[in-house]
Amino acid sequence: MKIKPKAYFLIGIMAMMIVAIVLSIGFHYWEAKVLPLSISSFILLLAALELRAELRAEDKGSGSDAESYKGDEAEIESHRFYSGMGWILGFCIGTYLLGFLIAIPLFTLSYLKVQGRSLVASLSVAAILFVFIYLSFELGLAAQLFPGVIFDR
Amino acid sequence: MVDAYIQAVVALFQPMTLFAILAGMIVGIVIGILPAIGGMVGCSLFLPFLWKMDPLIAMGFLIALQASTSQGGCITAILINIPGTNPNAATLLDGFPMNQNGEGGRAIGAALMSSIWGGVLPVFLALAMIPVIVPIVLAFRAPELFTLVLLGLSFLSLLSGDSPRKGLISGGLGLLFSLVGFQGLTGTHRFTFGSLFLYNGLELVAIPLGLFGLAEMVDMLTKGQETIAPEAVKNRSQGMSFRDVYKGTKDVYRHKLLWLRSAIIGYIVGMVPGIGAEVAVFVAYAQAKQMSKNPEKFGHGCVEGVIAPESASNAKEAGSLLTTMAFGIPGGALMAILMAGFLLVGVTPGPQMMGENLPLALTLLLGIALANLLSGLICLGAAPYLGRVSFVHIDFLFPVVLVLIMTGAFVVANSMLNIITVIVFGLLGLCMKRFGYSRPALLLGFVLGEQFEFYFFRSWKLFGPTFFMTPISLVMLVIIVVLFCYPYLRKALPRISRRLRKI
Repeated sequence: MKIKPKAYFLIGIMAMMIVAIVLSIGFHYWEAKVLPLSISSFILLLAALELRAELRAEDKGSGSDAESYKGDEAEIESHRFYSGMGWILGFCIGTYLLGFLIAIPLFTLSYLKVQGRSLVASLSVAAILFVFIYLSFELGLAAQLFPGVIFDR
Repeated sequence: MVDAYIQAVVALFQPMTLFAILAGMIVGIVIGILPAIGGMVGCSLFLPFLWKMDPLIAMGFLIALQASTSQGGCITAILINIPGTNPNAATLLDGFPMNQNGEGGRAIGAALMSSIWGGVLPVFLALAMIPVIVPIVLAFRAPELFTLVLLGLSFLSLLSGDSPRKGLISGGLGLLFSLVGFQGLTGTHRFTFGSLFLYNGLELVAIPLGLFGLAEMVDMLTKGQETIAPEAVKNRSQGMSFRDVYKGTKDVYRHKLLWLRSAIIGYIVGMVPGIGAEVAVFVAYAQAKQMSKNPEKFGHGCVEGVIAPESASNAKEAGSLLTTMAFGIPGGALMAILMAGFLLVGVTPGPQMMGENLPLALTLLLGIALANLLSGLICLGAAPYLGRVSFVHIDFLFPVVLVLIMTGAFVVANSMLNIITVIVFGLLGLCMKRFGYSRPALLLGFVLGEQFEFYFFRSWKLFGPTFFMTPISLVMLVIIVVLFCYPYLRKALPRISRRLRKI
C-alpha cells in the first residue's frame, strides 16, 4: 500500500502533538498545562481518526486527491516547487549576507533575467521595488532594515 | 451615543483618514483585478505597513482595500472568465456569457452599480443596529466572553475546510500555536525551546503572511499558473463603450427589489461567523433565479444573475465587520486577517471596542460605505481600461510579493528569525490548502487563543468550575452542540425518516 502525502501530513501533525503532550506534562503549574495538554490530545485524537479514514479510503481506491497526479505532471510540479523554494531560500540567504537593500534588487533582477525577461524590464522592476521598499519602510516607517552580516560591523 | 456618531463622521472626513481610504481603495482595485492575488493575500501583504500607524488610518486603509477588491474582481470575472476574488465566482456565471454576447459593458455597469449600493445600504443597517447591540455586548462577562470565543471558533472550524474534522484540527492547531511563549499567569515558558525569539510568542503578522501570502505564491509557481494573454483582454474590452456601461447601471434601478433582497441576504449571511462570501453570493444567485420570471435565461447571460451576487458580495462586508468589531468573532477569513490588523495597532475588537472605541468602530463602518461608493465610481469610469491590468505575468508578481512578505516579516519583529517563521507557516499553509484544511480556522484559533485562555482562567477564578452555567453561556453552548451534531444528524435523519415510514 502506497501512503499518500495527505497521510504523511497527518502523521507529521500527530508526531507534533505527541511532542506537545510530552512537553505539556512537564510544565509545573496546572494552569500552564491544562490547555496545551487538552488541545494537543484533542488534535491527536482527531488526526488519528482522520488518518484512519484516509487509509481506509486508500484501501478502497476511492481517494480523490488533487495531489495524486501521475507521471510527468507530478514530476514537473515537484521541479517547479523545488525551484520556487530554491529562489525563496536564495533570497533569504542573500538578505542574511548582504542585507535587504542589496539583496532585493539583486534577487529581482536575477529572477526576472532567468525567467527570460528583458534587461530593461528586469532593471525597471528591481529599481521600482527597491525605491518602494526604501521609501515605505526605511523612510516612512523609520524601520531599520537588516544590513547583512557582511556589512553589519 | 449621538456624540459617537458625530465623532465618527468628523473622523471620517479628516484628510489623513480620507487619504488612507483612497490609497487602500486603489490598491484594493488593482489587487482585485489581478487574478493571481485575492483579497486575503492582499490584506496579509499590507499588514506590516500598518505597524506604528494610527489605528484609524491603518484600519481605514485595510478596510478600504478589502472592500474594493471585490469590485475590481468582477471586471476580470466578466471580461476573461477568471474571478479576481472568490466572491466573484458567481458573477462569471452570467457575466462572462453576457460579454460573449457583446454585452460586456452592460454586465460591468450592472455589477459595479449593484456592488456600490450593495456595499452602501447595509452599512446604514449596521449603524442602526449598533445602539441595540452595544448594551448586549457590554453586558457580557468573562464566562459569556469565553463561550463566545468558543462559539466563534466552532463556527469557523466546523463550517470551513473539507470536513468538520479537518476544520477542528486547523482551529486546534491555531489555538496551540497561540500558547507558545511566556504565560504571565504562572511565569511558565511554554514551547519556547530556550529560544529568546519565542518568549513573546509567535509574531502575529508572520502567520497570515506565511499561511496566505507565501503559500499562495508557492502554490501558483508549483501549478505553473499563467495569467491571461494581453491580447485576449484587449480583444474582449474592445468595442466596450461607456454607453454600454451606463445601460448596465440603469438595469440595477430596473431591478431594485432584486438588489435590495440580495443586499439583505448578503448582510445577514455576513453576520454569521464562519460562512464565507462564497455562500452569500450563491444564495443570492439562487434566490434571484428562483424568483425570476425567466429562470431559464440564467447562466446564458442574464443581467439579474450579475446584479444579485455582486450586491450580496459587498453587502456581506458590513455584516461581517459588525460581528468582528462587536463580538470579536471574525465573520470569515478576510475578517480574521482584519482582526490581526486590529490587534497589531493595539485595538481589541469585542466589548472593549464597543465601549472605549465606539467612534472608531462607527468610522470604519462609514469607511466601508465610502470605499464602496468611490471605488465603484472609479471602476465605472475606467471600466473599459481596467481589465488590461490583469495581464501582469506571474514572473513579475513572484519577486514583488516575495520581497514584500519577507521585508514585512522582518520589520514587524526586527528579527531574521521571523522570516523563518513565515517560511514554516508558508509550507504549512501550502499543505493545508492542498489537503483541504482550513487556513482561516488556524488563523482564527491563533488570533483568539490569548483571549480564550484569559477568559477561561478568569471565569474559573471568579465563578468556579461551573462558570458556564449562565443563561447566555448555556444558549451558546447549545448552539455549539447543535453545530457539532449537525453533520451526523444530517446523515442520520433520512435513515430515521425511512424507518419511521416503514413502521
